[in-house]
Amino acid sequence: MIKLPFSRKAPEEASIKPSVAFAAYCEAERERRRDTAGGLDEPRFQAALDLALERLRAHEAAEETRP
Amino acid sequence: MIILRLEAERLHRYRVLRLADLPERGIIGLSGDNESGKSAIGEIICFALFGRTFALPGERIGKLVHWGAGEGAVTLRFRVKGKGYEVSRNLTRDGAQSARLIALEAADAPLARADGVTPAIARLVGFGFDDYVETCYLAQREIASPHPHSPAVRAMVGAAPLQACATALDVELGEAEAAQAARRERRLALAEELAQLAPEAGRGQALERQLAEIGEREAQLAERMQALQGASDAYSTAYRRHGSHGARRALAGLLANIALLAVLAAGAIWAMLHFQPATWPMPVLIAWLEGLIAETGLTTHAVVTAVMVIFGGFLLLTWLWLAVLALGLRRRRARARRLARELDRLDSLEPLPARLREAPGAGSLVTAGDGGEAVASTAAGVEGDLGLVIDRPDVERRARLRQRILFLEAAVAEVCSALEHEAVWLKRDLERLHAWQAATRQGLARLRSEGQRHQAVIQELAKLDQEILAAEEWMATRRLARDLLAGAARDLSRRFSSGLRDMVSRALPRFTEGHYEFLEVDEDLQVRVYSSDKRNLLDLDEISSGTQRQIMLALRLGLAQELVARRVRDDQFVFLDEPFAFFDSRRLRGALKNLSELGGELTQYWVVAQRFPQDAPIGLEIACGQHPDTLTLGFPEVS
Repeated sequence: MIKLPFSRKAPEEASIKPSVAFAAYCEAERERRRDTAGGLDEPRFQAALDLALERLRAHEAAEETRP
Repeated sequence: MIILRLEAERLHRYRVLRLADLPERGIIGLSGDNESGKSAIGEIICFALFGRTFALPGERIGKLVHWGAGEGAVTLRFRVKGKGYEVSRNLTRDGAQSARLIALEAADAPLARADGVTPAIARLVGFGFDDYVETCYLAQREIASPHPHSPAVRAMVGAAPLQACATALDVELGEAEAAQAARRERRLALAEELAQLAPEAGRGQALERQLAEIGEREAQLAERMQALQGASDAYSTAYRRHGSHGARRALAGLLANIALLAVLAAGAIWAMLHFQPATWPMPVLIAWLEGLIAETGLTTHAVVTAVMVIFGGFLLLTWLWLAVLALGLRRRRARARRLARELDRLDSLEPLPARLREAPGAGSLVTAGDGGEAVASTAAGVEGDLGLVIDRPDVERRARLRQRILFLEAAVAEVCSALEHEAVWLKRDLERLHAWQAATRQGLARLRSEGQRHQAVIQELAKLDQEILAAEEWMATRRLARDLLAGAARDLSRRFSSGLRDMVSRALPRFTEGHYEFLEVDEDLQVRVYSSDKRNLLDLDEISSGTQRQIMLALRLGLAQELVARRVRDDQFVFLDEPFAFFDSRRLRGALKNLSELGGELTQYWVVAQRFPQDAPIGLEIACGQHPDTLTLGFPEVS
């Protein structure tokens, strides 16, 4: 079967929330930073992650409730 | 979203435009010469959906009304996720609009009216005007690389919320950094002030000691001056009284001697009268006395006794006078000695130390300031006002004077002159001490004030340091949050670019007849393409403009596919206004064939071209311009 250039995405692939994508990125980033020479300031990283997630979720909630 | 039917009256160049029975898949070709109304159809569709067009800004939208007409109208029927909808809009020449959106299955209950229509359509079809013109609608213009920061692309990437939050954090950080800079500036100013205020160790105690020493010396000098003045006054009185002492002493002595002789004579007469009255010259004396007292009735004895007693009393008086005179002399000498003693005490006074002889403020403990200078000028003024020699009289002169005072020989004027000289010297030192005392007090007051300010500055610095530390912590967390958001946005962009690259790379050989096999799309959507002929990655400006348009068309279709896949998830129409303007017929035929075989959610392609090849894979070709202002398809012809 010849594969066409464009293909349809699965619904779950197309609808990942930014906060979910961000959390996944941060977990990978946390691991990456743990392996760096400077190490990872865990409390600060967690605080920054929590802050950004809180803002993102608020943003998403505002978007969802927008008429 | 698939377009099913389009009806318009008095819009753009069309008095009547009616298109029905449109194929839902494949290519709908719009052909015709220049100015035949091909692009107008794209603009009318855009207006029907969003109430605006790509070419006309919002305030000029009234120009869309057909020339000569006062108002126009459009009705667009479309399908989204299996349901039919119809949007109708009316537009007057002055730009006033009315609109209505209905679901075909419930035509009597509009889904939205007026201003609510455009947002309702955006919710329904999954994108708004900006997304539409960035992806599914290619107006007749140069195809440019999509801007990576456009709202549509950012929304597609999924980075828009991340970037919005990062921007909000950036704003907060900007404000916090400004506040932090102000705190640091304040801290610097306080540190400088603190360095100036830093009190020398023991300076306060030194000033206290100096003040005590000055007070002691001042009291000593004042006491000496007072004592000297008292002694001087006493000496003056004594000296004045001493002036007639010699004469009075001589007179008293003479009178005492006379009285003594008289007493002795009277006593001898009394003795002779009593024991040898017959012895010469007693008879003569007795006769003389009896002659004197014959008429008084007194006896000679009584008279002689009385005379003796009288002279004896007189003698006692003169002796008493002599004693009084001696006593006065002793008292005056005591006063003279007192003055001499005071002069001796003056001699024994320690001279002012050199530091107190200088004006306050000159290399002294007291800082030269307003007070110090004022006091220094006061001290200088004392000497200037007195205008006298301020050195003490020499020692020899003072010794001679002392001797003369002791013998009560120094005249009052002489003593006064000498003491005045001493007083000048004492007053000068006293004034100096006064000046120093005032300056030292001011210095102490300033020192105490500086000490209080020192403490206040230290407290404020400590508070400021805490605030700076807390703000640094606060900002560090937000910087990290912002960096994480930006990193995640970049990551999403990279993933998006990677997916887009894969998708477009699959389409690219079809549009370039195999000359270019794949391309690189970085996170800023900058494109480099791999040339099979040159076997190298080339920047867009290294390839021909025709090929650039093909690549950009492929990229735009890729973006449209991504938009639809992420937001719409349904079949979607695309309107491409002369995308193959410079293609020859062979290449155009190939491009149209490839377009219909792209796959994905893009299923209905509206393609504008001047003419299509005979055997081009077109589902429906609509020839524009056959009637000047009328185009009807699938409806009965309008006369």
